[in-house]
Amino acid sequence: MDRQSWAKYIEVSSNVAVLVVAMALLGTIVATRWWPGSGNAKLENGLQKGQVLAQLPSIDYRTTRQTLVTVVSTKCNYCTESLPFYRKLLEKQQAAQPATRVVAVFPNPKTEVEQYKHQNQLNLESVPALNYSTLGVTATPTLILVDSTGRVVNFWIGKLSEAEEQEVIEAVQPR
Amino acid sequence: MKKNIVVSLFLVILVSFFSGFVLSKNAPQGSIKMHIKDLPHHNLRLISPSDPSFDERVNKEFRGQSNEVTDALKPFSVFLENKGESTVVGYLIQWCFTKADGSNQYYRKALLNPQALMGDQNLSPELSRQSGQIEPHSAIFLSLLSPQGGGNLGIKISREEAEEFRQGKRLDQSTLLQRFRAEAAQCTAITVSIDAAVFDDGTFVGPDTSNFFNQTKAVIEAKRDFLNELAAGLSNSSKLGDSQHGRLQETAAQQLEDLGSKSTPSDYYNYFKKLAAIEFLQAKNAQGEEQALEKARLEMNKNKPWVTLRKKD
Repeated sequence: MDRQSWAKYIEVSSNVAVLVVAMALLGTIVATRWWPGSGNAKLENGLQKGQVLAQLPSIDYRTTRQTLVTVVSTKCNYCTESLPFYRKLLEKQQAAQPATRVVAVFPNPKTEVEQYKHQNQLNLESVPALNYSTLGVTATPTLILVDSTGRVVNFWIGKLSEAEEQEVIEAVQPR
Repeated sequence: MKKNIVVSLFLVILVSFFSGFVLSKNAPQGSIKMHIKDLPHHNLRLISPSDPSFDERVNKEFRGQSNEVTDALKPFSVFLENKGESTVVGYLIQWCFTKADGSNQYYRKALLNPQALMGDQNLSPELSRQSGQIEPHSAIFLSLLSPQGGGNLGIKISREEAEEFRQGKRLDQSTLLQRFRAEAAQCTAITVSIDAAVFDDGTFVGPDTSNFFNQTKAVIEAKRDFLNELAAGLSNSSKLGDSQHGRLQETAAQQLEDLGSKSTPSDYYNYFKKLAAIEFLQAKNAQGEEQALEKARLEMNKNKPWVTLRKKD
C-alpha cells in the first residue's frame, strides 16, 4: 500500500471507530434510561434488630452489657462533622460507669487511623482496616448497638438528626 | 457503491446499538441494603421487599398490575403486620434513604384514627380496613409512592419540564415510576422503622423521634376540651346561648397554619379544636341545633370511657 492509501485507510477506520463508540454509548444510555426493567437496584437484607452481628477482631461483646460499634472512615465528611457528637457520647458513657463499650471500626490502615484519632482528639478503642461490608454496612457513619450476646439492639445510619443523636445517648446510658 | 455504504453504515449502527444495550444489561447493578427497625416485642413487624414473602403479598395487593409498576414501588414500600391481639389505631412509619456519602433523606407516613380512642367505635371489618386500622393478625401495605406515581416523594425535574408543568403538562405514569426507580438506585441503604404505634387500649410504643405521642394526645384533648366547653355552656339550658354560639364561630374561623413536620403539639391542639367546632356548626346547619347537640352529648357519654394514652417500653 502506498502512503495515500494508508492515510485513507486510517481515516476511514478512525471514523468507523468513533461511530461505533458513539452508538454503543447511545445504546447504553437508551437501555439504562428508557428500557423497562433497567435501573433496578437489587434489594438485599440489611441490619435488623435481634440479628447477631459478626464478631469483630479482638473485641469480645461479652465483657460489657452493651457495645456500640461505630463504623467511621477517615475520609468521610459526615464522620468528621459528627466528631463533637462522638466526643459528647464518650463523655456521657465514661461518666456513667462504662456499661456500654464504644468501639470505632475503620476501613483505613492502622497508621492513618491513629493519625486521625490523634488529630481529632478522639480517645476511643478502634479496629482498623476492617471491610465494613462484613457487618452489613454500606455507608459511614453507621452506629450499631449490640448486647453482650452480640445481638443488635438498635442501629443508626448516616448523618444523624438531633433526635437520633439524643436516642443514641439515651441508649448508651446504664439503666 | 452507494448502496454498500448505506448497508454497512446501517450494520455498524445496529451492531453498536445492540452491543451498547448488552453491555448495559450485563453491567453489575447496584444493590441496596434494606434495614428494618420494627417492634417484634410489641408484636409489630415490618415486611420489607427483601423479605421472601413480600412478592407474594404485593402480587395479591396489586392483582393485575404490571411488574414494572410493582418493581418501581418496592424500594418505597413495606407491609406493617400486627401479630398481637389489640387493634393498631395509629402509627408513624419512617423511611430513611442513605447515599454512599452518608447523607440521609427522611420521609414519613402516619395515620391516626382518634375516634377509636374516644370511647367505643363499632366499625365493620370493611370500614375498619378503610380507616387504616390494623386488626389483630393482619397486615397492611404502606408505600410512599402510588402505582400512578403520586405520593409523598419528590423528583428532580429539568427547567424545561418545570416550564411544561406550569403549562399543565404532566409526566406520564411510566416516566414517573422510572424516575423514582432511578432515584432509589442512587441509595446504598434504606432504613424503614416503626417510629410510633398506638393500640386501641391507649398503649403507645416506639422510639417516637417524631413526637407523635404528644400530637396524638393533643388531638384527643382538643376534642375532649371542645365537648366539655360545650357541655359547660349548656348546664343551665338545653340551647346554645348567643355568646356561646359566637365563641364557637370564633374558634371555627381561626386563621391557623396547615399542619406539617414542624408543627408543635399546641398547633395540633388548636387545629383539631377548630375542626371540632367546624364539624359541630356544619351538623347544626344541616340537621338543626337539637340534633347536633344530641350527637355531641352521645360522643361525651359513650359506653366505654375515653382511653388514656400511655407509653410502654
